[in-house]
Amino acid sequence: MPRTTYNKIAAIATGLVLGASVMLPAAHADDYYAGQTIRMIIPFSPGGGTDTFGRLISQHLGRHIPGSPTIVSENVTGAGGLLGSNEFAERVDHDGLTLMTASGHLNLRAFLGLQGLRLDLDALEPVVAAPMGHVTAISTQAGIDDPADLLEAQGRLTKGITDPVGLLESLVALEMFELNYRAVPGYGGRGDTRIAFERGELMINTQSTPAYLNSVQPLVDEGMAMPLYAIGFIDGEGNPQRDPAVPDMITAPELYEQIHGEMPSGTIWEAFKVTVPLVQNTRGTVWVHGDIPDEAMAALQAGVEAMVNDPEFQEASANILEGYEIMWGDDLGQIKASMDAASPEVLDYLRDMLNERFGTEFN
Amino acid sequence: MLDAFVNAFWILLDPFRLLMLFSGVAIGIAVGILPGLGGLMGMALVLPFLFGMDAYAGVALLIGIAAAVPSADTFPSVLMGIPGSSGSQATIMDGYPMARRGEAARALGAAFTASLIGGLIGALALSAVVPFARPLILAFGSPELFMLTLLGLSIIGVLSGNRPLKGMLAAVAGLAIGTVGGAPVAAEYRFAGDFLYLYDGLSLVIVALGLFALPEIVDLLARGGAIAERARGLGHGWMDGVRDTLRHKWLVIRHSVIGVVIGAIPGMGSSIIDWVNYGIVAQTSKDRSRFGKGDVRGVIAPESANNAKEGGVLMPTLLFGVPGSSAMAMLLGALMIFGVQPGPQMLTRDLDLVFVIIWSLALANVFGTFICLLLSRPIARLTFVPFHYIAPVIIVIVIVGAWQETRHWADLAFLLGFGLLGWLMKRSGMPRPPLLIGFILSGLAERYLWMSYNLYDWEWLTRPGVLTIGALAVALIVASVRLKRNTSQRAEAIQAAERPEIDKESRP
Repeated sequence: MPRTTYNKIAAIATGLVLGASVMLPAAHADDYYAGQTIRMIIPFSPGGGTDTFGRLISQHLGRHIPGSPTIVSENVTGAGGLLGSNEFAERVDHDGLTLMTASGHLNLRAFLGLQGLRLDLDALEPVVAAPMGHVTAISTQAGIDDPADLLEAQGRLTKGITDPVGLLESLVALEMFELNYRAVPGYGGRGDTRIAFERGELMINTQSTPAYLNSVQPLVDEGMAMPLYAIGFIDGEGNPQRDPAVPDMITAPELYEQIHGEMPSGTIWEAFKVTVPLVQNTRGTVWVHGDIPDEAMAALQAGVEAMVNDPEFQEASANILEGYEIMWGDDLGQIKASMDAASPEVLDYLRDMLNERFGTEFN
Repeated sequence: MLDAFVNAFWILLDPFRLLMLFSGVAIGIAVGILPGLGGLMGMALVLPFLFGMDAYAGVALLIGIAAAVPSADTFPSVLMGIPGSSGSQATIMDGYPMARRGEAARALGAAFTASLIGGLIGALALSAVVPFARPLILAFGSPELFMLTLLGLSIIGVLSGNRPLKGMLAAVAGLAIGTVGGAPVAAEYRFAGDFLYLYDGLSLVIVALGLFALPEIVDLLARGGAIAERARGLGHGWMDGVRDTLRHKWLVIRHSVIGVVIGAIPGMGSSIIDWVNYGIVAQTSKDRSRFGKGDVRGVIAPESANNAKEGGVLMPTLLFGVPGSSAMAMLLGALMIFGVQPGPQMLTRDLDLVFVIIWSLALANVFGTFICLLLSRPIARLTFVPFHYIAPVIIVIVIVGAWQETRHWADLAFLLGFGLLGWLMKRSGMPRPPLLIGFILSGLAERYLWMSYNLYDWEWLTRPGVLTIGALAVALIVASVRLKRNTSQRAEAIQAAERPEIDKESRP
């Protein structure tokens, strides 16, 4: 079969040329990480969604970075992620040997400048990230059977609050509809709000899309609840995008348009457009300090590229990413772009809302 | 369903999965024996190895750890008066006095037998209840949970012995210490200043180790000699213990069931289970004079409940995906690594896995008990070794256990601080368990009270569940006051007859 042999040789030759072109700039980087150990700070307890993502990356990234460093993940827990984040922000060398996995909500806390948190996202560079959508549902006790009737919902519209900053995307959506809801803080986690929702204690409930599909969808099927909207995503031009895990579900801005006949506007819409990409695009973000040596940055980026193309990683990550695509390379620009797009008025609006309703303090 | 039940047993018999289960048990015993380290720590250790394992093997490993810890944590509680993990604090009350009397092997034998039966009842309850647990869990809303914290606080009277006022004071101090850190229902940090370490509040492990471990070590060193005061051979004491437990079989069953039920209520925290059970057994026994001085029933009750609770905490974990304890949060994470979403649909989609978990729980309890029984004789000998030989090792273990919490220097500072507080309390005859209970329940009581009010205004007070639990708490307090009057004179007479010195020191 001479023809296939020829093809093979061609393929190998192309591979060699491509390989050489990748390896040339990476030659320095190869030296940089050879024999090194990278420490991955995970500021949350083991077992959570962000921890799982951080550990997935720790497991696979090392062998793809030129020089094959070992990555060791370490849970530095405490104060809702503040202790680990502050350690990363202030007490490690900027040599690319320390990474941190943050959750979308931790990013948001840093972005809003939560009191006690000394992480400055502007000084950091995202290495790789994973998205996660959210869905809001309402109990049938509210007496509506169409999301478009949302504003006619009856009764005490209780919404369980775990941590107000952590739920900001769902709160901003409710504010956007100007719904008169009653916030009940004190829930331990979104799972607890899910039980309280089934119990009838809470009327409105927001879950991550995979959790919604697994544990709220059965309630919908039993006729106890109705999905209102997916928070959805925001594309580069600021337009709403469907949640890829529930493409048939209407998004919050689309529902607004359906009710009011026009898209939302003003400060609240700007706030929504800033909050959503920060939280939803980043179920987990691996950060590194922005001023690490160039060869270290190049090696990390080359490592991520090789990792996402590795079938072994793709197989291992399929379960963990739960229907979403990993974000890397140029896509990560969105995270910073949405932060840069936030005007001071929007920031003040968000801080004031959290401060007035929940007493959250900012730096 | 029966099909899946049998099928799961065959799945678990695979040699690799059995090996994993066994490794889990071994790790669980190791972290259980070391004070301050518990199931959470053991599970965190193995988490990185789960990637690439099949779900059954991984679950067997994790359940092996979770099931073996509450058996093995009895060792330090009984032998040294140091809580081996947060689930075995109440075992100290009577287990440690038994060890001081030279009956360590008997106490351990009774504890392990109770643990085994409790664990099996927990597994049985879990498999029986899997189809019906949802109504139970759904019945407890925020108002009911608040009333349960009050019920928990009402056992303080029992734990204070004949010093109710000092007990109340200690409990109030515990409630106050529990308010340090982030408030449960508001974005506000109390008594924390700019000290981020305090934002999460103080850690239960550090408070418990400080209160119970350090004072014991200091006093034993000051006294000299071995932990056991009477140089009596171990003999066949452990068989006596096994017989003790079998004789009290109804007690074992009752407290296992209580352990399962409390464990199944998410949001109660499993660290209170041993205390509640100790309170109940001390309250409902006819002859209560020996409690706190080495009554074997005071070991049997918390130990059966302690192992049975694992069956309970698995219910909300598997049925709702809501972790019943912090170690279960880790199990949830592991299930997600395997692509299994816990929740109601697990009963249809992953029924095999549910039953593998139940079988693992049962088998791990059997393995764990036998290993612990085998270890109990050599380990119990430690109580006859002059204490100054073992003290350095124990001090190191306690310090490492505390340091594991956040690896912040303040871990050690607070360990020392609570050690000093515990020592002062011990010296001044102020009971320490009420402080710990106040500390555990402080945040929960505040949280559920505010949530109840936010959800229902004052209407929550009239809910049937609230009224029932409230009546129970009142009954418990009234009964304890009345029983105390009857027994206190008797108890004092017995105390006077005993060597007063032992009595004073063995009382926690």
